Amino acid sequence: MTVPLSATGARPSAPSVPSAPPTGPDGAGPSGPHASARGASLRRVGRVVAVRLAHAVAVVAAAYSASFFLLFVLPGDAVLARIGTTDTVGTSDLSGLDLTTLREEVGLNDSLGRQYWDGLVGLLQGDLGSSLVNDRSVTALLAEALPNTLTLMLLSLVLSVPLGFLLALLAVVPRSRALRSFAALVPSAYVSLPVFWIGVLFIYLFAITLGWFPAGGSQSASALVLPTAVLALLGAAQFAQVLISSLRTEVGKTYAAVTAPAKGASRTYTVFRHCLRNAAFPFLAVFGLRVGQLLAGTAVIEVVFSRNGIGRLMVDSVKAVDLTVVLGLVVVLAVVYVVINAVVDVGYALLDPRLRRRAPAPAPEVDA
Amino acid sequence: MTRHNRRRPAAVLATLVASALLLGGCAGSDTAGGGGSDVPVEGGVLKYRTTGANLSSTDPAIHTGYGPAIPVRGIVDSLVFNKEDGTIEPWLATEWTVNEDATSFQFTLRTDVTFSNGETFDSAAVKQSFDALQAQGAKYAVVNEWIGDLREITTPDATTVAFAFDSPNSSFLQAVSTTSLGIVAPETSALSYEERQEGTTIIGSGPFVVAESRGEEGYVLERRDDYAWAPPSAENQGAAYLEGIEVFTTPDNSIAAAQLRSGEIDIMHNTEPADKTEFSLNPDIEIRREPLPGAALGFVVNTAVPGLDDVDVRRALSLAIDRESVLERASAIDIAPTSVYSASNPYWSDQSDLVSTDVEEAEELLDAAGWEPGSDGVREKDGERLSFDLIYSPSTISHEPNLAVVQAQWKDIGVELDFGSLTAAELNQRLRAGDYSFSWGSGTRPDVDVLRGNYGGIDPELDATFAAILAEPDAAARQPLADDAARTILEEAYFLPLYDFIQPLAYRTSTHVPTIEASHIPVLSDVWLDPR
Repeated sequence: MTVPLSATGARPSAPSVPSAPPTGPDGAGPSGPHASARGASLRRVGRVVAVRLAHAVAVVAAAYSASFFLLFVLPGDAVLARIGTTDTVGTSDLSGLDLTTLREEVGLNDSLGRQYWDGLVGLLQGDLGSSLVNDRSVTALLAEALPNTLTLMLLSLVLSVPLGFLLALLAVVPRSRALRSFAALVPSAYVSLPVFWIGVLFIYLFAITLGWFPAGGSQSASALVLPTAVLALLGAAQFAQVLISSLRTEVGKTYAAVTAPAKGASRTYTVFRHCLRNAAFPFLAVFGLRVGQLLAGTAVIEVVFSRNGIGRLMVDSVKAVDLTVVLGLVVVLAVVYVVINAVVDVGYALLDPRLRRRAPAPAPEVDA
Repeated sequence: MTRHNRRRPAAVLATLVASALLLGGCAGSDTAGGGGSDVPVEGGVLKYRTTGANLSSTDPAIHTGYGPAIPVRGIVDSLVFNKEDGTIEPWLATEWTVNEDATSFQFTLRTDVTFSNGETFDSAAVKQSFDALQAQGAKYAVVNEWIGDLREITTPDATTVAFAFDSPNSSFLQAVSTTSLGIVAPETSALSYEERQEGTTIIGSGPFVVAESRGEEGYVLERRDDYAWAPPSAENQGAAYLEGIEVFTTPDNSIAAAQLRSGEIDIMHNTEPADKTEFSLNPDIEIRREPLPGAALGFVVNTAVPGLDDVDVRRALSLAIDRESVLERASAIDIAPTSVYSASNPYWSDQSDLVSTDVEEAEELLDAAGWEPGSDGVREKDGERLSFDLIYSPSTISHEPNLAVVQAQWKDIGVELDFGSLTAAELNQRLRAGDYSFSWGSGTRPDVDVLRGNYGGIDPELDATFAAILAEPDAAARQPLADDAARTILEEAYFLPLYDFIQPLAYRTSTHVPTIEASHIPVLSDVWLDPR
């Protein structure tokens, strides 16, 4: 890092960087400038990590608690779901059943606070408990469901990024105004359609009518094509929407509209070489959100395409008021969410040199 | 029909929308034919679509619903077989005796039966199979209720097993014929409840064995080649014709119906009304039209609700239902009810004089009972309104168009009806708490006792009849008691019948289902497919 801490670097982050070492909370009387800078830097990283961790724990705990108490607002309980309905091959007088024993066995007779506490303690010990409906361990259910969902999510995410950029470039680069307008319309149109509807449409078109791919399941790689396509296109459309608007802004700025052409750069070159990087910043924010949306979107897609996965497991478990399974899923999803957010933050730093310079800022002083 | 392939890629969206609009036209008229010969052909894998809860489990004792029970029938056999006409014939038991007050049942077992893991089928295995259910108690609440007041199971010798009850249970014979009380191997009986839910752990003596679990997506069954103990009325006494059965769990009924039309699946359970009508006209698809031998479908009254505690109001509500137009609106295959029992129940007798329509009389009855139309058109009396709700599980959603017709008919006489489906958890909670006006009556047990679940405990006279039925081991002697019970229920209007229950099991004409049980579950070793 040879760039000195000059005006260009300091300007955007002026309030925090220079003032950080002297105003450290516990930084009373550092022994020397070098040690103080290094120590402050380490302390700062440590503090950031600690805050992040605390934040993560808080998010997971809040998600857990909120879900726990929300589930109690749902009518009925897992035991009532478990005994089935009167819609049976035989008729049964369900109203006469004595369910206290079963409630006792699965712990639903304990007080609310007790159940909450037991759940938290189990969680801290890494034990997610077992389903109230079929007694299977939540970890086993997750292990069955998670790989399928992750495959679908990652695949659609990986495909949606280049697709999104492609769509956005189509809406900005071409000379034909009509083509640009049309290309800009497609993502908005697609985003406004419900995922459920698109899924059903794809099934009718590509599975039932054309017979190209299976309509559902996760038994073969070809079964992955349709659900991935639905989700990847949706992600691409969302990315494209954001990229189009920020690209248009960038293209209109002086450096791209006046300076670059004056230097003889072509429009395509300018867009690819200069505008795209600047325009990608808001894209990253949407990317983080997209991961969260995917977690919800897979629930719909997994039901429509009859796939095993955490989304479908979640839907079934909420219906059955299966507390332990829902809470297990919530905890796992919250952890995933926190991790993704951290990754996005790192992404910001990689993409924007101003943010990257914050942490190692004192380094040039040391070297000097 | 129109193809869309030639359109330019730029018009992808337009193509999609256009295709969606055209699909309705394309779907029905794909191919013609089916047919084939009537000589069973060996081979092929049957693709069956089911719905329900806990579909990853193959445990027969938790699957008391029709859809999930069908493939489970391939895994386990039962002591006796309940024929389509409602009579009982031997199966794993060659004969049985029932004592005078139906408190003791003794079965003599076949000696040539083995479980698919090699274990021998004998009296000890039967006892363990039932003991396992009893030991789990509340976890198998429903089947344990069918088993009833069981005191003990004794095994005098290897081929004799005796069940002794503390109170009469003449329906026990029908109960042991169900898949839910099918016999599992001692190895399975030794498992915990949790282990039994894992998908591949259930071992029975049936014509198929579980080969693969696909979690919530279903499972795969494989033929057992040495199977040789089908029920006597089955056409095929040997190993199954099918090589295997793939169970799918496509959650959406319309997608599943489309899969059936395209041949992606061979047979499915649960059909939306529109698809029912279409299937009944589609030359490629067969849909069952025979009513299920249980009770008719309709509204079971909660007599504790203000208004419904008055027999005149209940009668008026029944008289105000024009069943012909309910059926006209709904689907092409349903038929009008003629009793509380459906017409195919062995204990049915024609009581259609008690199921009639007379809107004028209905209004007179309500007027006479003092229910006057209020400002919003809904009748009121002493601050109470004739506004009712009907609750049911999601599997009843396909009947909603019919319910809307009743809603409109009742509106004309000043009665309000709300209806909606609830999750099993909420439904059971409200049923148990009595927080409802009507529940959806859909008893599907092909037995005289089918009525007790819905109408027990509301009328002492009726309860006495039910008790007499349970204590009467002779089928012929139960008939007059059954007539009595049905007559009381209709006269007192504890039940407002709408139509007979047709189990919407639909299959392609290339799928042959020669034999079914009384509960309309197919005998899977008899099922065969036209060569593809």
